Amino acid sequence: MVSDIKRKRKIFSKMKWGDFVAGGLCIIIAALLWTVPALNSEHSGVFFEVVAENEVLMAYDLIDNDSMYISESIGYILESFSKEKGPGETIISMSRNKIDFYLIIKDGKVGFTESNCPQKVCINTGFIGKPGEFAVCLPAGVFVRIKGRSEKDDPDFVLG
Amino acid sequence: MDYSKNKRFNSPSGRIAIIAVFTAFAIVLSVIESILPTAALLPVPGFKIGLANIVTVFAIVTMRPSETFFIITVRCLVAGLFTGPVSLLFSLTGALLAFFVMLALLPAAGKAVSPVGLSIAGAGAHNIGQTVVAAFLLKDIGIMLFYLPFLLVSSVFTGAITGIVAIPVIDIINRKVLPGKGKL
Repeated sequence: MVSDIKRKRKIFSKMKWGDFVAGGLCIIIAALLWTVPALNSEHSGVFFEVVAENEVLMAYDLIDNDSMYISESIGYILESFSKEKGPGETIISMSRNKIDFYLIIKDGKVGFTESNCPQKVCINTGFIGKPGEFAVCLPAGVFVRIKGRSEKDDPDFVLG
Repeated sequence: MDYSKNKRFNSPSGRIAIIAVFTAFAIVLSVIESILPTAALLPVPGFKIGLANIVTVFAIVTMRPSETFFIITVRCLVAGLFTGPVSLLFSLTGALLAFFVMLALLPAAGKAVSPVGLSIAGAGAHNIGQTVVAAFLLKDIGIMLFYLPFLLVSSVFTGAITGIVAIPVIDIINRKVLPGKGKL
């Protein structure tokens, strides 16, 4: 017991002020970054986008529970794509890079619910529904982001 | 920092042997880490405890920078064989950025920062590095702004854990495993 306490004391006596600066700096940068997406997270109309290779493959309205937009190149980027509208939930199945994944839209939220990717990170993200939230399947290179429909998000004009 | 007074590990073959031992140690920790279900702990892509960071912190404090660089690069490449090319890109970028940040802090080690601080700074740099790679791969900056805060806060805890483990490891190896004048 005594040697245990001694050992602990030794570790903490060796800690220096710079350690707290390093830790504090990480938290300060985190707090600064946190405030950036928080600025535009209050919207009423909500939809999500499925993005891969810098292209919005589809947009889906979470309030109306209907797809708003499907890209023409979805067939080139995804290996398979299908949509099944059920009574309580809509299931969109996709596959890319030999990874199958399913987007389940339910109660105004969307989630990656099943996938054969090795790390299962996308599943653990759970259901998302707030503007600014993300769900990612990195092995497939696909991510889903929630957007708020507001005047601020719509560009007045598009160049090019 | 004086690394080369120990006669047993001053010869080229002795150093190759010791580098190989620590590289193997780092690879094993990387593989153990890839098996651990860390995503259940914090469901953020890229979140890791950073077990292999214990070896990096140890190496950067006691060994030559070029040797540490070798250990990190080989560890990432070999562990990448188990985890796949995408994970390899993340871990290599993160680990090398962490290496350079820790190397920059090394002159202050023992005076202003302990291995805990080095480890926290390294963990933060690792997460910044891998999030930048994610932003490049997905071609979206927003993802960085979204995930990086979680990863940075987590790196304070994981960095502290690996740093606290590294302190006695450095101590024991210098006093018991490699007895002799001076450090490794």
